[in-house]
Amino acid sequence: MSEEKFVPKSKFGRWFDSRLPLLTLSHHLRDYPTPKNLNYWWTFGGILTFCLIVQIITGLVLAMHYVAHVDHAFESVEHIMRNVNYGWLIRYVHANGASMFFLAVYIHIFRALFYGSYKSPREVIWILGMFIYILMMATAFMGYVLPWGQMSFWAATVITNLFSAIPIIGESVVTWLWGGYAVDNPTLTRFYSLHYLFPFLIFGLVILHIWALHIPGNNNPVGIEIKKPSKDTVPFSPYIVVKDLYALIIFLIIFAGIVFFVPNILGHTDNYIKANPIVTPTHIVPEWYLLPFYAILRAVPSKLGGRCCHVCFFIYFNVFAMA
Amino acid sequence: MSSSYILLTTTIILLILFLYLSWVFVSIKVVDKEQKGKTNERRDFLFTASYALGVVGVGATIWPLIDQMNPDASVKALAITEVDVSNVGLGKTITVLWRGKPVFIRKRTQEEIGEAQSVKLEELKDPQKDQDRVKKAEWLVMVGVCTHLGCVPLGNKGDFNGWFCPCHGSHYDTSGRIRKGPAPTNLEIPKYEFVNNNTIKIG
Repeated sequence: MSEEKFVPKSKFGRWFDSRLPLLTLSHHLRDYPTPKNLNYWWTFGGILTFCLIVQIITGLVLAMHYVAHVDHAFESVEHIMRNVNYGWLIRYVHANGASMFFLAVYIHIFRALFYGSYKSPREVIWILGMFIYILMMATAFMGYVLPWGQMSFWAATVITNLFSAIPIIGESVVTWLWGGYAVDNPTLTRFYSLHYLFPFLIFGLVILHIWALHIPGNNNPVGIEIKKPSKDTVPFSPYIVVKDLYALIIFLIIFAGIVFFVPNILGHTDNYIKANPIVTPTHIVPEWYLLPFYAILRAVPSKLGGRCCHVCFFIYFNVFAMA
Repeated sequence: MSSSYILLTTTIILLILFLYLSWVFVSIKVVDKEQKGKTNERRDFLFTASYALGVVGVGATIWPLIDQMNPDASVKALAITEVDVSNVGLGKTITVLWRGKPVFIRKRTQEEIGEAQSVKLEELKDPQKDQDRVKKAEWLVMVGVCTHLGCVPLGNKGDFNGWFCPCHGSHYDTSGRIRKGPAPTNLEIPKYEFVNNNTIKIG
């Protein structure tokens, strides 16, 4: 970075910082030169960080009350909704939080595409972002399975069956994923374990994503690279912090509106019916944020072909950052 | 710790934070006054108001995350246990579970009652009359948790023909009062009542 070398004021600060440069890091984060012409499309990075933290905290709480067993999972979710103090609130925040997370991430991706933020020298940020997106989908999917309702069960069945499209080894892979010959208790417990792990992998990738951002610095709406720091930049704190906070509050008002007034509008009623391995619900679609991938499957008249389109989509999105 | 206590503590902490922030902004105003001879009261007010609101908001958001660890509705629903004691013979003890804790219900013999009533209060570590510990003299109902560190005392043991805690050697008498050893107080008497001659409702 082209900033001046930061030296802590106090003697203790210098002693500590020369051993663990936390003060330098915090100074860097506060002083980070940001283009002064960033518009509100740029506030979604902060919103997404907030979303991830909310999901981790509410998830941690839900894990205190949830039971990962086919005989108890559905009841334990109802127990959270009815008995646990504020359990309904915490679960609705977690469930709708996933939707809000995806809403924000799609706007974030759209902004990167629209303003060319994926282009040189920011390809690595984009690729890390794509991996975060994949992990988010995996996490959201596995989380959706945990309440063990009808939609959970059949989502698990359909998504894991995608792997059966792989020639020759497909069937063995699916059996391995299930830990049996159908989606059952072993599937539920491993999904629970991984659903707890993945957010922390996402968290790690987010740190790399931000690190990779801070090397070239932000793109800006004009798309012309600016000198940093210069008259074209402002320090991150307080200017961008306040702007991000303002956008976050607007975002939170919408979030709270959904949680308090229409908490089930994004869900499917069938998921309030306990999983039944012998009846598939009549209308089965994924959560809205996975619809593009669902549409690909429905549009391609071939099992392997549909799956290949998913993989191609991912490869294409990663490669075109280089082009 | 009861939830109302936590609520009170949280409110007090929030109020203190609010006062502290107000003080900070007032002192900034004073400094401004000294330096420039003019103040910007409207801005200070807005700062204080928004920080205070922010603190209240954060507190209100955090509260559900703390309260979810308190006993939930299904646990509270188990707070009352009814026990049929018609099968308890003279000099026998039954142990029932109430709120996850053992409760001793003993039909005491005349000797035991006599022994418990004849003890002088000066000899006791936690002075309490036997009459104050029972509703009917033959029925002793108490929480079977040692007041030292929570183990379950053994019946018909110890130097006072009552209970003896195997963990750290506390002796209780035939009224469940601490007589010897590290426990600070007598065995706790739960809230209970006789629904009829054969049924006790605990809780």
